[in-house]
Amino acid sequence: MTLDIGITLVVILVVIFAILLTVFLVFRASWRVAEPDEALIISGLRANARPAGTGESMGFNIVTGRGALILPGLTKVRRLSLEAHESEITVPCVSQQKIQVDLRGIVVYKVGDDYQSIANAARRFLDRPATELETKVQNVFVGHLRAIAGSMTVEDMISDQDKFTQQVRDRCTQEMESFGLVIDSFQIQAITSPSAYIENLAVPHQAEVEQNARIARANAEREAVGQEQAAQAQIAESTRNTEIKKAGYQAEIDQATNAAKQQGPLAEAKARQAVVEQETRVAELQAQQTEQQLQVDVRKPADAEAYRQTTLAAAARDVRIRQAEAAAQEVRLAAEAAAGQTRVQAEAQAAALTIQAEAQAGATRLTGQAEGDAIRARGLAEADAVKARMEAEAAGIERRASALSHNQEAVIAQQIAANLPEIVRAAASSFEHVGTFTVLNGAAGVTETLAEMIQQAGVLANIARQTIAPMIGTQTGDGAGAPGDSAGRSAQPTIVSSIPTRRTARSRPEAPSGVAPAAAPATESESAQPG
Amino acid sequence: MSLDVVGKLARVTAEITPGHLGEVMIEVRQGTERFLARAADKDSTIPRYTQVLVVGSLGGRTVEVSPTDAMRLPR
Repeated sequence: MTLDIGITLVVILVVIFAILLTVFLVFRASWRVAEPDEALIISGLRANARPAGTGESMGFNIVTGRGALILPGLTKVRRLSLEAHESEITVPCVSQQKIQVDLRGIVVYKVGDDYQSIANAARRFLDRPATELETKVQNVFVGHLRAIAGSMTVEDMISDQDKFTQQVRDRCTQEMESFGLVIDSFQIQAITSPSAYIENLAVPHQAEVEQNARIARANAEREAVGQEQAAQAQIAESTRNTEIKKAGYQAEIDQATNAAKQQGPLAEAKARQAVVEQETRVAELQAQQTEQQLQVDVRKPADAEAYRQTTLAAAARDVRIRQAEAAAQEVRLAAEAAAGQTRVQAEAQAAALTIQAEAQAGATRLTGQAEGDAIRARGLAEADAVKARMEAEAAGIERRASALSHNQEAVIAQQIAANLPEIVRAAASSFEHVGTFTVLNGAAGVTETLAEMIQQAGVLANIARQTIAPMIGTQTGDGAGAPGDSAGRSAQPTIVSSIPTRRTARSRPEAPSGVAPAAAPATESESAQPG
Repeated sequence: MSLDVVGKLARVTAEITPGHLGEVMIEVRQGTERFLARAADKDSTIPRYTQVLVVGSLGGRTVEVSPTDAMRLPR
């Protein structure tokens, strides 16, 4: 039973569901909803019954934005798209300047959103293809655009968009409104000119633009190059500065490093210097000590010794000076005594000689007178002999002269011998003018000089004595023998024979002196005759 | 339908000059629509971007507007 009841309930539920589903499907099929971009155009049964929010026009309803219930078979619903359409319009036209241009524009339009526009459009385009709408719009626009273009210049068309749009609005809006269309946008896409008018319009500007571009590019390039160069210069300068700073820092680093390196040796050297200074100081002190020690040990005793020796030497010197003075005094006294003695002797001898000479002179004078006669007599007798002998002698003289020419020394000796008395007198005369006699080599020198003087005096006395003695004894004999002397005779007899001549000359000053021994007898003979 | 927009504020999108229709943009039906416009004072020129008040309808999609400079109405 319960099973039957359950089955019945299920069947009932299924039937109900099926009925509900059928009702829903029927309602769903009868209900139309307008999309936001479309309008429903409903015509047919009860189309005149206007619900709220619907437009009414010539017996059909316009539904936008909501649903509407239709009765299939009784009412007919069609959709009118409200979306935008686009038409491209290409118009060959002539501008105000009679220049042929091609205009290409795009017009965007749609069905107006108000019921009048929808109704207008519905009556014209409902259920027509979109191309027909486009064609209609294109035809309308082509005619109007041609007229608009003919009233404008090409330049205005290009630049004055507002004016063009204004013209389009003025001319086209009314017709479009009658189509129920609204122009959303009208744009001229392109204006081309088969005669290259537009291109030529652009040429001056293009050239100017190109020129400006080139100028700008050149300027920019120049500036860029300048900036680059300046930048490079700055880079170089910065690099230089950096290098300089680096070098400076490196130098400082090196300096610091070197200074640090030097610190060790420097400190060591300073320490060593201090040590050396101290050592030097010690050495100096030691030297001072040694010096002081030497002062005490050596110098003081040495000074004392030196003083002692100096004193002793001075004393000895004084003693010797006194001794020398005494000896000199002694010698001087002895010399004075000897001189006095010598003077007395010399005076005595002189007196003796004077006396002898006077006596001899008297004797000679007498003898001369006696002999004069004898000689004259004998001379006459001898004249012949003399003549003969003279001749022989002349030959001898010649031979002697030749011999003398070969023996110069003999002649010189003869000359010296002839002048010896003058030499001796000259030597003796040097002492005649002596006022003060200074002896340089001490007492011994005085003694020597005195001895020499005495010796000379002695020699002179001997000479005088030898001279006088022959004169007294052998005056005539000698003269006779003299002519026979040959040239080879020694000097000593010559001197001896010449001295009597001098002595004779002193007594008779007018007689010539220094004659040859051979001439002496003749001279004496001639001089004796006047006497 | 132009009566729907009478009393609304609009913005001039094309200059209104004497003898020529301009264009205004009106907020209507939750959107904006373009309407042709004529100045209420026929001799005045209303430049672009001027706020105007729609004061009347000339039928179709043409309205009569007046500048709001003097009125300063609240929106």
